[in-house]
Amino acid sequence: MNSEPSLENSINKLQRMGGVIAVIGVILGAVMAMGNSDQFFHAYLYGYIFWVCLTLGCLGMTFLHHAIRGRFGIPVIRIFEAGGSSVNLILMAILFIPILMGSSHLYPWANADLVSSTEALKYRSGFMNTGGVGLRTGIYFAMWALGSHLIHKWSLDLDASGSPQIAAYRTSLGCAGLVFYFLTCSFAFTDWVMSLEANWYSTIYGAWFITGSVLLATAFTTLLMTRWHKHEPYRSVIDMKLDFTLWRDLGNLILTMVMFWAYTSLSQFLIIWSGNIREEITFYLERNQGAWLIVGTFLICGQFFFPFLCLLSGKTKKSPGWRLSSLAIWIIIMRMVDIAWIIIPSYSKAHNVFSIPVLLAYAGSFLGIGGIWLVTFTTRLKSAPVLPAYAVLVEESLGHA
Amino acid sequence: METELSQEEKKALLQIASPSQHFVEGEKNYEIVTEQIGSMVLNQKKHGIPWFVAFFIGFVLLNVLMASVGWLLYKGVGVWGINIPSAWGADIINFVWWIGIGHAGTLISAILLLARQQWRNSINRFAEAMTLFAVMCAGLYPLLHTGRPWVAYWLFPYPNILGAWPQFRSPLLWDVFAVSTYMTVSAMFWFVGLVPDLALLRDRTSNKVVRFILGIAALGWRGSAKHWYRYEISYLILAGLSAPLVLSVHTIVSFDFAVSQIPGWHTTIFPPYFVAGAVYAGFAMVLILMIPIRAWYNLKDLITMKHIDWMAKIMLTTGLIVFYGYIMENFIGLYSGNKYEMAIVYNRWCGPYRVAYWGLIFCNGLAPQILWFPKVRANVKWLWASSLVVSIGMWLERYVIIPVSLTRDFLPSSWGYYTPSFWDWAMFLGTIGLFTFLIFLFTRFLPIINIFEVKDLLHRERGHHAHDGDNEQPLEQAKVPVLAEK
Repeated sequence: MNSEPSLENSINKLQRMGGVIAVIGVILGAVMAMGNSDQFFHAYLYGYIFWVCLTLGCLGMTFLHHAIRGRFGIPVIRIFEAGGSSVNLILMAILFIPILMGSSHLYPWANADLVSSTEALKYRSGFMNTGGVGLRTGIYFAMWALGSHLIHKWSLDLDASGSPQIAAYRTSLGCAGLVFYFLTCSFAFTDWVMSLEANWYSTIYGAWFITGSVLLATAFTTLLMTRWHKHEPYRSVIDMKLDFTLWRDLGNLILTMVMFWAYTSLSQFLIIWSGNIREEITFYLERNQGAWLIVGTFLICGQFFFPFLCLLSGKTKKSPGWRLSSLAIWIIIMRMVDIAWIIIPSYSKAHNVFSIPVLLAYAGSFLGIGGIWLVTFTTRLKSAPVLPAYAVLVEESLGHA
Repeated sequence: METELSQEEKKALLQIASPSQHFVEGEKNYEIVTEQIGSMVLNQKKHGIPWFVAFFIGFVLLNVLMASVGWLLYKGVGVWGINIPSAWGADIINFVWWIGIGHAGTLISAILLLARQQWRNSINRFAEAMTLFAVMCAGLYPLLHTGRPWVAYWLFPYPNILGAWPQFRSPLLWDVFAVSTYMTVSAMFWFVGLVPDLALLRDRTSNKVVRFILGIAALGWRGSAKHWYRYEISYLILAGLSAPLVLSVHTIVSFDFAVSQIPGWHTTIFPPYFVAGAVYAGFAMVLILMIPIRAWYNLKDLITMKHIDWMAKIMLTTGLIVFYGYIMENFIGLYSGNKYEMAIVYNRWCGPYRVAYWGLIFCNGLAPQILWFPKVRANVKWLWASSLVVSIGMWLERYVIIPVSLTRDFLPSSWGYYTPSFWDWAMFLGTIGLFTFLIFLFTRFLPIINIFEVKDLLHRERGHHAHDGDNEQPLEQAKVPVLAEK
């Protein structure tokens, strides 16, 4: 009798863990932010943005895989599909409602006094207001959920029928979805995050945030695969057929994203620093002093130099050992720090974020939203076979080779 | 309207729609591949009227370049249309345009090699040559724009009694290093890749003088296992060095503009959007040249419709990134609330250069969308026309960036209008001539397709069938270095 836990057990375990984390997080967040609505909404936004980045990162990777039909994506596509599923997207749309309700605690454009005294906010008031942001966000989520639903449906139909017509549909949707995804994510991150700064703007912001989201999604998926690859049905396909290329491909994908993140970050910083224009430097002025300067420096080392050097080595990408799984965990932690570095300094004047109660409120929000997300993610993952049947094509092609 | 497809179009459409990953078509073995490519160099009678016409046009325009440069050196940079407020004009437009074109070569040869994309094997040599010639054309412009090109070495940091020292904080100086590194690494990469083929031609030619020249160029290559091992290592190292150059060179070119405070230049999306634009323009130029050359020299079995289709897809993808850049520039310009940013958006849409701006949107943004359709990608005439439109669009993009921003700066009293002079156009045509001249010299005197890498591809696709027919010519085969021997 095989005493090893099955994949289903592992997914169930993750689901139960998500449930427990959600309860702990909600209680912790509520207790810590009780009586301080500013603190509650600030912490909530941080938790929300992290998990929406993971959702959208998974959605982007789903579109990418179906567009290019790359071999690397076959073992992991169901994880990406579940992460960026219509269910998760609807969940994130619902979880956006508190942000709209608390927009006056979060965004300068929702603060009437600030709007009347700031020229840029006054100018944008027709576009940046609670109704406008809510409407646009609703439209984005509806479109993303529709795209995600269709591509997942066609992916399952392809398993059932093997029809080339359906294969063509999902590729077409993947291509069109990618174009639409880039545009809408850029606009959405402008509304949700960039507008936290009253005067600041940057044209690379969308690409910068999307890169971070895709990096997070890839690290998350890599982590799951390093934990689950010993279970059937992964074992026979990955270990027997794709062992070396899968881990190398995932590692290289993370390496590419790490480099592109560094590239966009450096480009943005260098151009703004060189220009030294009053409205533009506000973002970096806040983050280049005090504790945030240390956090920023840590990010340069932790989110670029360290993973870059690790992933240059073939050893890290050779097998799903401790190196790759630890690196995936490290990247996820770095994304948490990076998103904190982007969001929290905007509220530095409101409260001292480095005090224990505030940090616990942020942790509570992060865990609360994350726990719910894990529950819906695992539910979706269980609803379809974890390996697409068209993976047979890969086996065949490898067999012929 | 439903149009009837020709037999050739039907065949092309089937090829690009086929899931097969075969990139060498027709009845082929190593001998046939050697003969087909090698004979373009060793059998000079193979070059017909199209070669002479193209070479002649290149030669005439090269003389226009000579005259333009001569006149410029005699009179000074005043013969160009540049003047305050537009101190940069066609010279920098053309520099950026040419340097961008070179990027496809490096992407195909280095990045696709590292990404293990075997399909590059038939097109890399030609694209690399294109890179070298494009960088030569690009380098002329800033060199001449210095006004005194004979003291261009002042750009490099060296101890001197003048006490002159370059400004290391300026991206213009970074350009000097970036472009010179790019040229050096690309040239080495190209030459190293040529060595096994030069040796093959050395062993095949019956002309003693040609054999002597090729013998020197082939560096004593004998095709031993040690040679191949060293070759593979050095080629991989050069690919590793070249790959970051695809990003760095055009990123630094974008910094030439973006680090300033000029509205329309000072925008953070510039680095990735310049790089994507460079690859976009580069692939357009590869297609413009490769489509006729593969037809003239009957290379359709080696540069297949699958290659053309994939290049078109890369062109479409990079074009979409460029279009995304335009959308973000406009969106953030309007979102910012900054009056100077909004003014540049208005000026591009409705100002005196609006024809150029909307032309750019049409050429780079809208027209290439037809590449979504497989029928268009299977039709080389449409594809050739689309590539030409993209090339024009990429020139317009630089035109819109440079004079439009410079002639409408912060002070209305200093506004002006930029018009390229006769000599600006003459020099641009001249560099097209230089490029054409060099490309067709290359076509005639060096193998434009990497012979041994195509054989490697053949071996991977057909296994031992690739050897079919080899036994019939054992002596000839002994002279052919094949990758399988490694």
